[in-house]
Amino acid sequence: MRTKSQRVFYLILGITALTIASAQVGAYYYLERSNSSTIPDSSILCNSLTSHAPGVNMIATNVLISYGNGTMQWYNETAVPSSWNAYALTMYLAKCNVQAKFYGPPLNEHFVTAINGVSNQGSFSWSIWMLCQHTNAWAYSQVGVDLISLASGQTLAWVYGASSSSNNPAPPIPNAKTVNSCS
Amino acid sequence: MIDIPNVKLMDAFVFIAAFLFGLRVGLGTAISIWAVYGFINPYGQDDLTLLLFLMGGECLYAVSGALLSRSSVARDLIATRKLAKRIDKQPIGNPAGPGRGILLRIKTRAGKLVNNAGSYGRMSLLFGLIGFQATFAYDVLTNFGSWVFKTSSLYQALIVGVITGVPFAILHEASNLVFFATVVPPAIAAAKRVGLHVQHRVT
Repeated sequence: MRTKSQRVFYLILGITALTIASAQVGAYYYLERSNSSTIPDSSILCNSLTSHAPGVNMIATNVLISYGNGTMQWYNETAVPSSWNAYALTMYLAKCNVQAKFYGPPLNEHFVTAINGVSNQGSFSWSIWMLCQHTNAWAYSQVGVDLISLASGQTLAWVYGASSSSNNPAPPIPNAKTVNSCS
Repeated sequence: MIDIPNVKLMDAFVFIAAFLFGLRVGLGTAISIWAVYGFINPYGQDDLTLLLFLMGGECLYAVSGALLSRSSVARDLIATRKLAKRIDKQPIGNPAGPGRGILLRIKTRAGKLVNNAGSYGRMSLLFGLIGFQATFAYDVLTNFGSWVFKTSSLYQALIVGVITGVPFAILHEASNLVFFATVVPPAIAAAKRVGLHVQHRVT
């Protein structure tokens, strides 16, 4: 009787282990497939950015690109569809001269590594900031570029500079007022 | 082993501590290990939230070790090992006469070896599978913990944590399957042989 119950115990253990192993292999396959995925291909996005469908609600945004060597480029009152996110806006302004690594599901995020030929190198990388309208201060974005929805009159800034895991990068304009978040 | 991420013997040590000395010692070992390793670590210091999840996860090995030591499966296996060891020490007689003595001795020794291998094999299978499943639970919990405040829902934290952490989880689970199957059975058998507390519960 005891031997029979022990056999059942071993059987349950074995089946559970096999289920876990299958689930882990499946999850690994899913991760690898999504990391090598080219679904949000930059060229496809670029083609869609050059033609706006009629009747789309448009908003005006302002973007600053600071190249870290003193060169700052403003794109003021750029009219773009309200459905775009900050990544699509960046692609549009840089005429698709943007390099990014795409992390597929579940993240679905672009990590921007180069804008207009200026690439991340060592501790120097691109970071995105938002100008808080109420406080007129810059806030370092706590979310990825794909999660930044655009609003009318919104001002964003791409900054190329040194950063580390413990410190935020420098604000877009030297000595400008900064806050932790816009809310 | 620090060069290979997530491959470590300490999970097996926590399990052995709980199996031999009970849940309290196991939990104490798990928590004190992370109280040190969480701060003094070449990969960097853990933040408090993650450290709590790591301690909680490590306690799962202690719980599984303590529960297994109370199960009839483990008790029977260890009792079988004890019996096999006792038989091993008995001298082999020679009832068939001097001519057939060597053959009989070889046959008896071979029989004992097969029996020993069988009981060790079952112990390895049992501890390996338990270790594998405890490691899976640990990985799910700690991967969830590392995303819980970075995502908008608990469900999202679970899914993102499990999927993004799966390469490390596979490495951890495979290595612990091997460690629990190879390191734990002889360690427990050796501890039992020197008369540790487990004997009181097993017999």
